[in-house]
Amino acid sequence: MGRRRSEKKIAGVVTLLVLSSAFVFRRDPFVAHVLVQASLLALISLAWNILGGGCGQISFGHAAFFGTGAYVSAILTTQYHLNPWLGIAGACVSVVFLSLLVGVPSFRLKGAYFALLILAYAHVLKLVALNLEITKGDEGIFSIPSFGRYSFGGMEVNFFTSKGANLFLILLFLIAGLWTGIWMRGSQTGIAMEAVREDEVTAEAMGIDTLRYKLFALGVSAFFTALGGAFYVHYIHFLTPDSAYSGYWSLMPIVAALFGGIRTVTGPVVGAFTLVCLDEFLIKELLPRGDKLVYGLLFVVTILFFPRGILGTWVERQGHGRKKEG
Amino acid sequence: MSFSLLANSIASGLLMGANYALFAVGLSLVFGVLKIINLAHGELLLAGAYVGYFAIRGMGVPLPLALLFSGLSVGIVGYLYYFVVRRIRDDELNTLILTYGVGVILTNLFLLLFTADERIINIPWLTEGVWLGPVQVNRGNLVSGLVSLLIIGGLTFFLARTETGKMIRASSMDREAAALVGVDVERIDRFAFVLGCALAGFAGPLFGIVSHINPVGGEAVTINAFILTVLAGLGSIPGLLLAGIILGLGEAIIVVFASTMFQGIFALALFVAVLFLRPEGIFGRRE
Amino acid sequence: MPEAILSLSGVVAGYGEVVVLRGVSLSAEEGKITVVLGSNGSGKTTLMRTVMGVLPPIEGEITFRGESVRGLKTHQIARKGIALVPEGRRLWGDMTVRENLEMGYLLRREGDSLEERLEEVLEIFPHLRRLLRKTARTLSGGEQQMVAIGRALMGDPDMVLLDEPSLGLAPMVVAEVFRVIERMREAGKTVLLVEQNAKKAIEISDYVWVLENGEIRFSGPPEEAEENEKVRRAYLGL
Repeated sequence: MGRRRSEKKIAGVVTLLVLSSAFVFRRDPFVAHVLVQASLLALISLAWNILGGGCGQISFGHAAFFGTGAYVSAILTTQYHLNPWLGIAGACVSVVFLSLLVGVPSFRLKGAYFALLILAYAHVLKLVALNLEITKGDEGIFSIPSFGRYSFGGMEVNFFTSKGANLFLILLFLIAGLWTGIWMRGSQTGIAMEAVREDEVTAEAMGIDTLRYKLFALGVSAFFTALGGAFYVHYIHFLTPDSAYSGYWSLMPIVAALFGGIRTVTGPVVGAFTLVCLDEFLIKELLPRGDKLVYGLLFVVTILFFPRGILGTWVERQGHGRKKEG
Repeated sequence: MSFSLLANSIASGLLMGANYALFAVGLSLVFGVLKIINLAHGELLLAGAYVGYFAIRGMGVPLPLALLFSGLSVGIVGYLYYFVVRRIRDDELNTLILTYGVGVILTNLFLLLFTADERIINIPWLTEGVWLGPVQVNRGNLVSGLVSLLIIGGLTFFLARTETGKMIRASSMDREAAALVGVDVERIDRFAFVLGCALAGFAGPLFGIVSHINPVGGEAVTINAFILTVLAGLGSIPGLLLAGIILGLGEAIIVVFASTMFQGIFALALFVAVLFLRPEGIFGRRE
Repeated sequence: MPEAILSLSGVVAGYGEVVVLRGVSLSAEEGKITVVLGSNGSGKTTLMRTVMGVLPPIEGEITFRGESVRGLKTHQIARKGIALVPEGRRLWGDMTVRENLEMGYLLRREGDSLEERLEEVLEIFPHLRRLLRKTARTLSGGEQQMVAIGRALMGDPDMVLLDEPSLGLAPMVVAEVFRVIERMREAGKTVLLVEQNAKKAIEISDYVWVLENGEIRFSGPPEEAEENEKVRRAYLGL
């Protein structure tokens, strides 16, 4: 139980930390932009980990969810002229539906079928986006609207010009994801998911409907990934098949989650912020062409030598210390 | 649309099917024996393709020699790779993640070393058309299709008839029973893994003849290889040939009637259909 | 007193954190049939798997012909001349009967040729002769058990371990299996037989051990076992 309590504390610290850094840097466009990127990756990584770390189902193709979420919202707002908030809602609903198309055929079987099926989906969806009229093929979709302008009692919030406003919005999504993750982990559902992760056959023997829990975890994961994808298009304002279904959105959430620790909810968030900052301020300077190579190496080294990640190892030590005291 | 166009597509689809089987055979062997899905399989194949490309284009090495050279060099890489995998292979999930990471490293090495340019192994003699009775096919497709048949046939014979081959089959069916009759199962694992990688490397230059070498194209090769492995049934090498032909023929026919987009959708549909209908594969048995 | 060919002393073994064998000491004499009786879950199969190095012992010593085999890999132990007929037969279902038998010959690296060994095994199980080309999974349970025993004998081992060879077989086949076990002794092989079918096992045995909850509860010659009150009640139903 010590572990769960210390997780909540860390989540609280993380929430405060990101909010205060956002407040400090809201007027610095460069730093705000880096923080937006970090928060976005943190959200996707967190979502990836609800399924991967929480339920033991590894996805190598979260770009399928991210890109589809991005496209749905982009199409709804540019071609059907819906408001971006409705675009986001449409993206989340469609991607949760898409996740069922991946989960239902593969989760009935044990083994790595899901991991490869979602990878195949990511490839095919990119191919589809390249060939359809509605996605404008490889030219991509331009002039995707921002979240607009609002004023709250004299305070003006302009999502088109202010990076800070967008930063607060993505942080809001991130914090929602974070606390959803924390809540899930502590609930009956989270415990059932953990049982599925540890040993699916035993979980089944205990009467746990493993298919249901795997699908639930997948649905939640898809939902937050779509949220991130939809946010991304209204922040960047244009979308191509390459940017939507970029391998970045499949690879980096895993790297961040592994780096931070896949057995914790907050690990991926910490991992994502660390990685994006390292990337912006160090790796891109040193290795302008091969920065992804560094991630590949980091990835392999982490899985070989620190399979519980940095934060994971730290939280475990905390737990041990507590046991000794008590 | 003419009859001959369709006949030509069927012929090239059949040949492509044999190629697909060769591109998948390494993954299938490793999966069958070690129960590890080597997600870096496609990247290893591309490594072989690059070796073949530079050997043929740069040094004028003849194709058969280039194939052996690619197989050998990727086999050596596979040997090193095996010792990394062995450290954590008891943990199935981490092993899967590890192989994915190795694929990422290779992809980015290709990008760094060879840029993002697409390449094709362009041997003039191989690009000509050849008449096979009433149908015309590309000589490159024909040669690589025939080499694929040869390798699949040879491997099937090796597994069925030789002592090492029987040890491989025995330990892929029941490791413990194999160890009990004196099979050094760890040696068999190492052998099968390295052979699987070498086969990917060997297939590489042929891939470079029938298709473009794209540094980020490894994942697509792995996906197709896995689809065929599942379609054929765990570790069934002859089954791969039939599975490859289903995919190759299906794609070739679809492309006559519809766009390339539907080729990709066809492979995915095949994958989903197998998961629903026969997860044990065409040749696999229901337990 | 003849030398013990296999001996275990204080062997502790199990799966992960579950300890199954809690300090087992037993021995088997050369050229004799040694029987280990035990009910389900007493640790019989774990005992066999530990001897063969499938499960490494947590504590204790296992020696074969006076040499320690602890820490050796399964195939190394097998090559010392011990063959196990595992519980559930564990044939290679997609291989033919002939291939299954040939695999057993891997343990034999000198002496008789493959054909000579095959002839000897087929002489013991004449019924298998016309099944050689059949795929193992298509055989009946009794036939499969014969192939499993035949596979173990192909390597001409000094010692044969049998894990519940009579389980799930028809009475006629059980009789055949026990007849073959007695023939092994006549051929000078050492047999370690783990059984639930206590009556038959005691009848052919030279020495009996009783394993309960991972501990040895009784040991003695068969006559003593038949007299022993606990053995009578628990295993002979008397």
